[in-house]
Amino acid sequence: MDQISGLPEVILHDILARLPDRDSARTSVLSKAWRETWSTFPILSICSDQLFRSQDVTVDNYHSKIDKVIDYVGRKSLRLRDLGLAIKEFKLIIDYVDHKCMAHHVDLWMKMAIESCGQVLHLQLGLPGYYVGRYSPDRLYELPLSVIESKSLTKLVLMGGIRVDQEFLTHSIKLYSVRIIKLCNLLFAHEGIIERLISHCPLIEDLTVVDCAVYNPPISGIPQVFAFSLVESLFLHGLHKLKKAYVQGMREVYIDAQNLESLRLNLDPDTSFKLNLYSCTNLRWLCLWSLRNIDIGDKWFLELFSKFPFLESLELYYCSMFQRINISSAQLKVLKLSYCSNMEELNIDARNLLSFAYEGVGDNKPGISFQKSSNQLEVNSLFTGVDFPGLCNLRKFVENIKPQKIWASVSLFIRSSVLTEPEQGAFQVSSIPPTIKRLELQFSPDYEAFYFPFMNYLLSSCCPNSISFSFRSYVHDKAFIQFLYETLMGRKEGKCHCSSSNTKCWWHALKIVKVICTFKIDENADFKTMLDALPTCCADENIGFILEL
Amino acid sequence: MGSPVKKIMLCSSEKEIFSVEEQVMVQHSVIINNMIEDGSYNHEESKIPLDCVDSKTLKKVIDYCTHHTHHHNDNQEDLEAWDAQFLNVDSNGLYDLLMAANYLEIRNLLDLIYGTIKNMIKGKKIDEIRRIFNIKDHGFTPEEEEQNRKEYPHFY
Repeated sequence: MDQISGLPEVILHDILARLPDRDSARTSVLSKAWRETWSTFPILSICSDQLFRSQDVTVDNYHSKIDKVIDYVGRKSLRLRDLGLAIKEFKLIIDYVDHKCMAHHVDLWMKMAIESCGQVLHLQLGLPGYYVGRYSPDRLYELPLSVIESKSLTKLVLMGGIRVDQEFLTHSIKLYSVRIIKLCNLLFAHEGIIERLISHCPLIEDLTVVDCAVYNPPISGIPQVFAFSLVESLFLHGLHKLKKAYVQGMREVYIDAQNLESLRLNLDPDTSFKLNLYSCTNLRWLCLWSLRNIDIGDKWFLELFSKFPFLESLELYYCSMFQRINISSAQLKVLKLSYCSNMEELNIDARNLLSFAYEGVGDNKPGISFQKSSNQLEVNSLFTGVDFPGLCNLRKFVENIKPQKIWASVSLFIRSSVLTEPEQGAFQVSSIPPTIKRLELQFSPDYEAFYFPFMNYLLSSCCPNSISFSFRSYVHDKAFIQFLYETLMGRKEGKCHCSSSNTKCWWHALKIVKVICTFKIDENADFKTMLDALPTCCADENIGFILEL
Repeated sequence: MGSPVKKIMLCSSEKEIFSVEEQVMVQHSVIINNMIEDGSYNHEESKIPLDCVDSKTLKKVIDYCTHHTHHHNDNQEDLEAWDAQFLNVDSNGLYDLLMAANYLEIRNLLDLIYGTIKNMIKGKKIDEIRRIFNIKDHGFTPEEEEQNRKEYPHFY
């Protein structure tokens, strides 16, 4: 037998546990020996897309597809039970659930997992559509009470398509070992159930509550649709072990947790809200979304830093700001302002700041200045929805970053652009643009006619030490990458503005253009081979050029 | 001059003796660290017998621990390049290393090897994995193989 297959079972299980579910499941048909290993693997993780793809499901084949899941889970869980093995983790992720034909099976599996002292329970049931409140409660899976009787569970994840009934308000809770709880898109019979559940988990360290709703008993004459409301408030008291919390979709949040280190709050943007975090003095990481009912200004920042003396990382998304902002903090290391409105001028006095990120839409570009900045400071700016006039303003944005020595640590990221015909002759460059660290394109123009203006506008705004194309969220067209490469290599003669202006385009003077990529390729491969090897779907890869003047 | 570097003796399955800096092994191997701490290793006369580790593998394990002790300040890229070169062995070599790392409880070497084996499986088709692992006889009857292919076409 080959040696890898002959490794001790515990080692093989350790390796399987590190693989994505789909890959670990695949080993079951590698060979008889691997099938044996697979059948005793104590992590029972079923994701319906391992067995079928949602888009292949039709009304006619739905039941046979679901039967396949039922049969598969049933066989595996029985086998583990027969061998006297614990189901250490039970994870069930299914799209398009018709719970009527599955509920009693799911009940049975959960019972087996809990009775065999399982540690992780993850139940995620997808219903067609987005919002849980649109479904009549009886279409959702009714969470069995046995779940809260488990003393061995350390992690409980419940997401979507699940209903938590009134009995959870009174039934005794024994979740003494739970450290991680995640509740997303659930439907509760009573708002108080969430708080009761959490307050009975003395060891809880990591809590997520996202977009949960309450259903009210139907009153005759009122349509079902109106019987739902979002859970409005969350009051958490005396959670001494809580380190990390993420709460979304509430109006009122009260957290009393002296060891809380990380907090992310996505508030309901349409309403006023109340937030109270008085005892959380150990907070290090704070991320706030949609703070719209107050304008954030100097005073707000001052109070924040005095209330949370250890705060190192602050991220604000979609918040409403004053036009002029002064931020002063000796402890801050990471600051991110993303899509915040109104801001025109930002002064940052934070000598330990290592990373500053600004993200904005199109034309909203504040002047940013730093005082007493660290040598290690990195400045990252991402722009979404930039049009040609917006690209013209990029240079001004970089030049408005003060002092000038910061420019060398600036990276610009261009996400999506709305490119319409550029105005002829509207763009004149009089001097060499600021030298910056990096330009990353997460987007490239659709039409060949825009290749030149797009590139021309970008390179007239900044002189980056490297340019890269990220494939993380967008698949670039080979043709544009090739176009840019040839321009940089001086192989494109043409229409740039040096002929009509006194300043030469800086890229004509490039001495070295080195191509680098993150995907695996023979180290002697030429540019054309690299182009052929470009990712064809979104991937965490990039290709780029290092430029030396 | 500082005091001489303290050494310990490791003995392979072929009874070959390897002398290694104590600190290097203590830092990486949970087992050896325990032996030194509880005093069961005597520097004058003890040799640690590693009956299930052959000389070739033991030498590699010592190389790994030595490099990671003396170069732990190197930048991540250099270390990763070194690791990749280090694990450039056939599947038998990988097996021997894994068993040795498991026996000596060298956590970071184990993680490294697990990662390598993981990458041999991840995203690959069955035939490819069989080739990589050198699985010549999968043990399924032709009927069973046929059945598997029918039941899980997306695995192949």
